[in-house]
Amino acid sequence: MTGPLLRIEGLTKRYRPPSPLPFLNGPPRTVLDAASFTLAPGEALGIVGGSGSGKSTLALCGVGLLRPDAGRVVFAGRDVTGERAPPGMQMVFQDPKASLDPRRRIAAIVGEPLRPAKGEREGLVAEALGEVGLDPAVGGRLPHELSGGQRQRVAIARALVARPRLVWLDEPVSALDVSVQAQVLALLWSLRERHGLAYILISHDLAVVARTTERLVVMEGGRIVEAGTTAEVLARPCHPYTQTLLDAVLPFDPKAAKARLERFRRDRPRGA
Amino acid sequence: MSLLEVRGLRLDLPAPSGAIRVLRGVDLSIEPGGSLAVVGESGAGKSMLALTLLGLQPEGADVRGSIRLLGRECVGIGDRAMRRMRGGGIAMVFQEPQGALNPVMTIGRQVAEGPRRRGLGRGAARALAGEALARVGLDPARYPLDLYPHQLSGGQRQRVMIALCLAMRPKLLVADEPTTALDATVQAGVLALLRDLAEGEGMGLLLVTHDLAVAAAMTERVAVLYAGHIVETGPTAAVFARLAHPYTRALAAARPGLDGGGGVPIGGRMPSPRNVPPGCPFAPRCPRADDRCRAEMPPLAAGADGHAVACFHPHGRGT
Amino acid sequence: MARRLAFWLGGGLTSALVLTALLGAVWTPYPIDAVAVVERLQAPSPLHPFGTDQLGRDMLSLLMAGAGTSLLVAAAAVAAGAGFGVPLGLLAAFRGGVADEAVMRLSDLALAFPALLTAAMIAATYGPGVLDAVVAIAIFNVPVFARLARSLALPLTGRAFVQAGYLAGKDALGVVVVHVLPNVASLLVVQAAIQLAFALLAEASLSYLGLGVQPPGASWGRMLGEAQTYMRLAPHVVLFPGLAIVLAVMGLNLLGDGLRDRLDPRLWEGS
Repeated sequence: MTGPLLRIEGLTKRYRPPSPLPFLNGPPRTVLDAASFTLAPGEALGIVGGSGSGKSTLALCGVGLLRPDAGRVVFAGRDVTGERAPPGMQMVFQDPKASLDPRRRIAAIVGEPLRPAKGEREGLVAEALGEVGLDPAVGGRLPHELSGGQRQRVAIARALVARPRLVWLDEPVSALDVSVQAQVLALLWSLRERHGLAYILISHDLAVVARTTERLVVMEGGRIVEAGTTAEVLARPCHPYTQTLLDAVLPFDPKAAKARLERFRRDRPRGA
Repeated sequence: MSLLEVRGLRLDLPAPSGAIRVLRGVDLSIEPGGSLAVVGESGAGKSMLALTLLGLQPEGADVRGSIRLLGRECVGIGDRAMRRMRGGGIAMVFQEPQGALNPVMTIGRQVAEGPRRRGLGRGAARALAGEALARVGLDPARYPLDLYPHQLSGGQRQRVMIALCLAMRPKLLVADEPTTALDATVQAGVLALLRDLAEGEGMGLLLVTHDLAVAAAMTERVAVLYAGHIVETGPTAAVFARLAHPYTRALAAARPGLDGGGGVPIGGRMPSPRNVPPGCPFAPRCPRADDRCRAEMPPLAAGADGHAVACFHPHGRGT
Repeated sequence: MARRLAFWLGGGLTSALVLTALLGAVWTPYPIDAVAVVERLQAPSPLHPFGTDQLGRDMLSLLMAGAGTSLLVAAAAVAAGAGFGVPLGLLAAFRGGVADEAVMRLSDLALAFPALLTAAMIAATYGPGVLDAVVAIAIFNVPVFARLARSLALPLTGRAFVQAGYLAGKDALGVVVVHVLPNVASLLVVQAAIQLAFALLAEASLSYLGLGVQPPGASWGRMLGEAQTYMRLAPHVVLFPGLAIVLAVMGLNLLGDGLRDRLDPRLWEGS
């Protein structure tokens, strides 16, 4: 097939701030403003931006957990706007502590997206757990018995068990330690290679996105302010906000890192 | 006289299945106005170390060793004496400003509370609060003292938290992952502010973080904590130039860089503090480990430049 | 320690109440309709451990039979209240908008009518009876459960694990049944124990006023109501039914509190 796997066209979402009086809500606030991009099969796209940039709203509209006020989501040639979790699309959330039902056992959590075909179920769950580097024996445990990194592996196993073609990763490692981040990112990318998955990786940290994605979208205030191949954007950022995001990635050398912080001292970035 | 001098600090938490050994002989010191980063993964004991320094360890914890703040011993002096010590000597910025700020109290009153408790009048305390908030970049002209925490962004709330500490005029500021909950760009701003304040006010800074790069940007000295032991410590420049301990090196390699480097995972997991194997705690994950490492804990051996490593097979300069 | 005591004491009292009710349904020392005017208002004795009432009936037998009635009425009313209230509350939480507004305003309306008044109105229309008491108490229970279920479910609607349920292909009903209900069930059970105590008390009040259980059925409330004229003459005729009500209500309340501490959703915190 030649067309894109996913086409986002002019996706827009507004919220009305709630008011204590009925029918007197304030004017709507646009949190996602006409976002458009396409994704080829098997491609990895990074979306970076701060809180309030609209990147999470974009993801929620993309998988159909939020209904956009305008725009379309076309997945594999089919208009799926507002359709919850169209087949072939999955999502991994930021905080695995919150995204796993605290009262269900791991096996039930991982197997949830599977249709009832009971016979294979156990085998598929065990396989999915194995793929994310967990002993299938953890299937009998509850989420709170696992470490943060293990929980995020469970969330990834759940996303992959039904063999999607596209996975939205909403800040998949920002709740984790640096050392565990590397483990989870390495896992995500080996899975992508094995299954030819397309990824949309959302993060506030450019360093997480830089290594692993082919194309990059920078968002600020609900709009896409810059887009291009990752290498291009990193080498020649056009938008000042992209530059700020670049500056925020601290270099590893102590002297350079201390000098970098100076920049944030003199011109305080907005929102901070 | 050191600002903070910790010697042989041990902390055990009681548990039904035997004590959990969280800190297992920690030594560290900060000179007046100096700064130290304690780097480690979750579970290494770094947050518990920070809490213990403030006398906020969990009820029933068994603390041994010595913590001297401005020359005065803090271990075993009781809650009231410790509270007095906190009032004037040591203050703490927590990871989640939401949890640490009172949602139904204006930011002005919260920042003024410390000075009020020191006996300042209402007006003077309020003026001091305004000053402290201005120092952290929340100018009362734009951010009135009677705002509530929920009216501010995450980064602004963390600034309020810092102002709150600042108003107590501490000699030592302890910051436990002060920016982990914040966006990357906001993080850099808050870090810049913290360093600025520590230098400007001559405050000592003890920064707890899981990110070596934050340590690089912030402090003069660094201590790497692993499973309750300090495995490497020294001047930041020396530690980063050599990355002598295999664990420090692995942590450095795990961090993704903009150039596409890094991101190398460390295999295995940190041993649980409930069940610590003998020998070096990193040995099960260490490519350099041999039988000796698995049998005895290497001592923290200091070199000429004050750079100390607890390893039988440290990486040399440039290897 | 005190909390565990509350749990065990409450559990003990409640078990005793249930056992008494079960026993009373199949066997009582004397038949409860054995009127013997000669033996009226006898003080407690080895033959009649709790004495006899104004019609000479054995008080112990009446109390045992009354336990069943009281418990049955209370349980039926609470079950009906939860059965209607919990789905309504969940609907309000997950649908929001008009559904939410409608459920909450109807709740306000139902709560504004005292159970007694409702019962009196139903009794006036259909004549007094056990069902009348059940319906009146249930009407009072529906909004209690609706509000609680709504407020417990509301913070869960935005939780990532609920959203993950949608992504796994479940519809709203599936998500509510699989992810929401189990996570709010423990606190609903606690509330049910406390509502049971309220319902027991309400049943006693209604029967006392003659709006609930009708003769010849036994009821603690009715025993109190019919015996109060003889209170001076033979205090035991009001003492024992009163004590039974107090112990049962206290037991259920303690059980509710104890359960709350036990079922405290500690799982949420696991770090």
